[in-house]
Amino acid sequence: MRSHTTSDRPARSDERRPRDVITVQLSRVVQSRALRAHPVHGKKSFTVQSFGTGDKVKLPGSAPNKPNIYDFGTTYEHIYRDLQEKDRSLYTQNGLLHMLDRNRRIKPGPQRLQECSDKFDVVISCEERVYDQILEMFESREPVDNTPVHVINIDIQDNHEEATIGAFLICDLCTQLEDSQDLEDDIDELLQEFESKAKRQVLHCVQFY
Amino acid sequence: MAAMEVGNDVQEQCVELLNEAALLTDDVKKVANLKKVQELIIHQDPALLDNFLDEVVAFQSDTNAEVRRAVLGFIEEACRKDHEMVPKVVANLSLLLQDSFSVAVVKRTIQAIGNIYKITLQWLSQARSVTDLMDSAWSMLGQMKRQIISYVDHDNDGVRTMAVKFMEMVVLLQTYSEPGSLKRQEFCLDGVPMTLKIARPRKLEEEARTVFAEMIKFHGSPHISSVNLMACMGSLTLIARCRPSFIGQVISALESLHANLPPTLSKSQVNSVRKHMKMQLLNLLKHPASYDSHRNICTLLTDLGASQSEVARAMPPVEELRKRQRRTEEPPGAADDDTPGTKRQKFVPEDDDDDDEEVPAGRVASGARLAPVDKMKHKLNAIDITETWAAERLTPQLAADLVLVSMQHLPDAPPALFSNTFTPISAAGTRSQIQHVARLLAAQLTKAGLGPGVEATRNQGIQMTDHDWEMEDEEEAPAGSRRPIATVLSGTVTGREAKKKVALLPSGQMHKKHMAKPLRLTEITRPLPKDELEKSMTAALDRLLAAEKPARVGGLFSVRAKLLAMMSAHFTPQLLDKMLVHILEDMRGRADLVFSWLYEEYCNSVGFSNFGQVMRSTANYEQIFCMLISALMVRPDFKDGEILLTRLFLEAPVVPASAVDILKGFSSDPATYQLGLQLFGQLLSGRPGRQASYVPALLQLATGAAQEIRDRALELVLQLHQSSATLATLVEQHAVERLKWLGEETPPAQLVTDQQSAVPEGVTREWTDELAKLCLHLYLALLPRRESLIHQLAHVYVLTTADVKRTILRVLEAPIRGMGMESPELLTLVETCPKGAETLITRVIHILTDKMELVDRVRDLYQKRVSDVRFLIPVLNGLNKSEVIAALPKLIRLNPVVVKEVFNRLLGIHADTGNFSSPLTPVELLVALHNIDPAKCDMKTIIKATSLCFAEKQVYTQEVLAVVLQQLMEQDPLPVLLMRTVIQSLALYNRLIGLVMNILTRLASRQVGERREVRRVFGPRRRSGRVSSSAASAPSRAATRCCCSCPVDPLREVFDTAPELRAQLRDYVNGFTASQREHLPADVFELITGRKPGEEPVSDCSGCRRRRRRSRPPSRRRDCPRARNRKRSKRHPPSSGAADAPMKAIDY
Repeated sequence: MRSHTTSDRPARSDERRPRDVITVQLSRVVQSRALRAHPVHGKKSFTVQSFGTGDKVKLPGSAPNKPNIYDFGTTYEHIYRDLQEKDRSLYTQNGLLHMLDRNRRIKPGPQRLQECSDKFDVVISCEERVYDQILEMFESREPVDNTPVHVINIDIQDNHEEATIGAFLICDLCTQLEDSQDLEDDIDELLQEFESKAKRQVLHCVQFY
Repeated sequence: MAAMEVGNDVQEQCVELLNEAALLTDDVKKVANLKKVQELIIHQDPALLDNFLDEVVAFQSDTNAEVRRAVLGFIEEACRKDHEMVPKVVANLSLLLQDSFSVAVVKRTIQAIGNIYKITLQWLSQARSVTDLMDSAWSMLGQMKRQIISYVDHDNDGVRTMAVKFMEMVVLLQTYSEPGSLKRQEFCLDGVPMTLKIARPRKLEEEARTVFAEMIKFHGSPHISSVNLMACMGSLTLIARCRPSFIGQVISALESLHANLPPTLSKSQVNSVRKHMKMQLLNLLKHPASYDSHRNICTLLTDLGASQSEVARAMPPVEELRKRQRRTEEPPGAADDDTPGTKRQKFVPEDDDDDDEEVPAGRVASGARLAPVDKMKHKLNAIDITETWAAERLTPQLAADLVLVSMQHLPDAPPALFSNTFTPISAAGTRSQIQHVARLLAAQLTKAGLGPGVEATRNQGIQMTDHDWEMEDEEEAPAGSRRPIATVLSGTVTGREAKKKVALLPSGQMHKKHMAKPLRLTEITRPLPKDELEKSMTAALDRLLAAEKPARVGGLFSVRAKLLAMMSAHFTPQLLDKMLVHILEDMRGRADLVFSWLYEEYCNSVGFSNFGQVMRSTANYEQIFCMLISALMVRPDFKDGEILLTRLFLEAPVVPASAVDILKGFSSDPATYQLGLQLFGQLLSGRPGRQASYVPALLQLATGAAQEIRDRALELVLQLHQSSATLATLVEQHAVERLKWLGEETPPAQLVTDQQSAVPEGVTREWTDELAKLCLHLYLALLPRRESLIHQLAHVYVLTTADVKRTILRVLEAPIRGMGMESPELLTLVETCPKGAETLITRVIHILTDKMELVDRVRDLYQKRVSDVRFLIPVLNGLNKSEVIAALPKLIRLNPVVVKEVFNRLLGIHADTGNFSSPLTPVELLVALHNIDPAKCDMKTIIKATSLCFAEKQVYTQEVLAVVLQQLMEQDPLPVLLMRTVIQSLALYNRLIGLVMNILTRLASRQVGERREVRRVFGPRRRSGRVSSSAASAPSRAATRCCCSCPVDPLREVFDTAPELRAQLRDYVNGFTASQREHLPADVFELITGRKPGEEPVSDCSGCRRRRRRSRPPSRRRDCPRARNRKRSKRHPPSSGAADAPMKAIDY
């Protein structure tokens, strides 16, 4: 399942430009890691959007080989109702309905990164495969105005516990990136610090819009 | 109408938004407003762009970086919309590029310039004619471009990244599109006409290649950050994909990067970089133009951990590859046919439709263009050549050796990079793997500049560069010829153009002009003409000088002094004179003025002053100070100036060296030396910090010729010498230096010129006593204070001439005595006497002999070891009386010269000092000589010694001799030489006659008892004495009376030898009164007068005389043996003169 949320852009008195941060998750991910990170981001007052990168929106079904598949463009509302109808108790049990309920209050439906024309400063992915997809996407594009974007990958395993920890890690990283006076100059150092603190491998790359 | 309304509406909206934005303090809202305006103008009514550009751009001076970035966005959009905007904003961009407050703005500016640069080139290419404005804008953009390219070494990582992207843009823009390049809808060199004068396509392409080379260099730099590296990698791949001719270079760059990843990268950064590289390579692999390098790319990809399927997926379809392969096999001419027609047209736009002509022209053009590609191929070749070379040699044996050798250099633990990237080699030992290893080795070797490939390409490379040069020359020519023309045009023909170029001012700055500008006086004033300036200065000074009284009355006296002082710091010589005259008119009253002047001048010289220029040279101050003191010194009414002069020296901020010289001159004038030296003394105590600078002058004075000055100066120097150790060494150095002059053959010129009475030129100077003393004064004065200096003297002494030696010996006495016997230095000197200085040592010992220690030692020596009496001579004065007397017999037996020295010593002759003390007084000496035992020393020697004494008339004066005689007389028995001495004394001093007579009388009476002996011993001598006395002077009453008191026998003998005496005596006795006659013994009376005492005197007739003569023989015969008579007559013929007497006596 993918749940993608947008939060309102907070008004900031800080002179620095608020950074646009997105977290990206793979469409097949059951529990939205990006989404977990989302509310935390929102409260911390930086602009966050979350996206999927796959072709379809895939959510776990009654059996591993029977996922629920939707097209991008389907609203959360629709998915919520659909799943409610299919097996209410199952999807309540595994938390899917709860998640969708939350998501539908944040944004209308799942978004696909490739289809988004907005420009971001930082893109954070939670899985190396997603990272690859993001890079591929950027490589396939023609840079127009050469605005740099930092693509960062932090591996977060696909379960509740890891997702929660990951959410805080990502939030922590974002806060640091946000606080930086000069992101380009500082990012190398910040990421290294983060790596040693979180004891996780981070992939990082710069791409251009 | 509707359109108009919309336009007006938009305009009003914009005005409102901008006004609001100008007043807003909230930056976010400000940015939002600007964005809205941008949206309105660009997208709704571009016609308004011209109206509002300035207003929006004016926000570029906003304090907030976001606002500035928004302005940049607006500028970019505006230019994109309307190319005519470019010249208006170029200057603004230039300003923003220099933004020193926000790196973000700089980055955004680089980004904007990249786009605008592209737009401008497009605009230029499409324009029908190039205006001056365009030209200016283009050249300004060119400047910015160069600056941005140089930013690749910027401190900020982000700026470097942007610079790399900018370079990428430049490379892509300024190269031709190629067949098989990524289709991009971008403007590039293809669109630039050959005729464009200000942007020659060839030049641009050349530049693109340089920039590309820069990028490759940056990509390979060892300390590149991971972000930069990945950005650069991405840019290079993009270039390679868009311009396949670069593909080889890019791949070899990636290869070398893979082999040599920057050591600064962390483990995860390495991962990111490798991942990124893998992606780039896969992208390249997809590109059909990379076919030639497929093998390399695949190897690299395998190394990077790409799976076979990944590689296979990225491979372009087989058909395309085949097609491409076929194409490369075809001749280049045929390949050209495949290229799009547009390209050829661009190269040779003037071409006819004739194909025959077209092909060669196209070939030439593409040949020239492809030359750098060939070069790149060569670079590739270097690795290739080395690869084959290495592959041939990679036998198992060699591989094993290589491993063994490199074992030593392996670290203890595998580095993170290695453990991260190592994948077990699956195909080990296969041919392809060997080839791969060879390739890796080749890449490393080539990078290190080793291997046959490098050498081969180096040779070719040289040829290539030569070729390049030719090409460049070829290309330079038109460009070069263009440039001068342009310059000439702008410089001479059209001033208009030059104006235009300058006119490219940043837009939106109008309102700035109204801001208050700080008034700069120097900008709005013009310097006065020189003569007018001087005239005004003179007039001003005159007025100020004349205003003395009003100023004093008005209480502005100090202000006036300050003014004058300030002015005088900028005076010309005439004005200075005026000032000086003014001061000298009333020395006392204007002293304050003098000091404020001096201090002002000093402040100027050291740069404290706020007024006027900083001179940083003390020349002016020095000049004025010297002028003042010289003026004071030469003034006839000097008394008035004396106080001021002293104050000047003591209170001035600094006494310059030249002033010290003047003071020295002043002090060496006998008329004023007292004040001068007093000043020196005050300077020394009052300015202790600068003592060292006065000392040399003082030292010169202290060694001068004029005695009074010298003595006074010497006092000061000695005070100094005591007061400070450093000054003491200075003084000593000077003294020793002067001392050393003595060692020279002739007096040094310096010494002679020091003296007032300099020897005229050409005359050979010689050491005189005076000159030598000049060198010695200071030294000798110092000697008692610093005894160690004595050793210097010993060394110098050896070198000096005989004259100087003598002088030294003479002047040495006082200081040596001052040092005293206890001085360890002196004793050391005696011990370590240098060869040739023996006389000096002797002299020193002589001087010190009254000191007991030395004397004791010498005495010891004399008594115990070497009984050579000569040892005693130096210490003679230190011995006691009895010792000297004991040694006398031996001493006088020495060489007459030595004996003389001994006597000099004992008598204190040549002793300069008054405190000479001899163990023997002259009297005692002479008496001692008389008392020498004839057994110890023969009489002749003694006589010689006594005569030496008599020769010293200054010592043995009449009085001294009288005492001597008296003492001798009182001895018993009488000394043998007594009478001789008496006679000699008498010969020297006639006036002693009375004493002598007295003595003789007393002798005569005393010796009655032993007359016989006495007569034997003294008879002849007395007679001689008589003879001498009578010969020297008229017979005196005393003499005759003495004779009268003689016993009768000797008298008779006298009469025998000198009959004329008898007549005199008779006359004398006849004159006696009766009572007087009674004192005379009867026999004496009878002998003289020839009658009995009772008889009357008879006239002195010949008969009587005859009778008397007759009567004498019997008595003689009775008293005097014949033998003696005979002997006597023989020895003393009557003719014998007084002068002979002593000499004859010696024989006796």
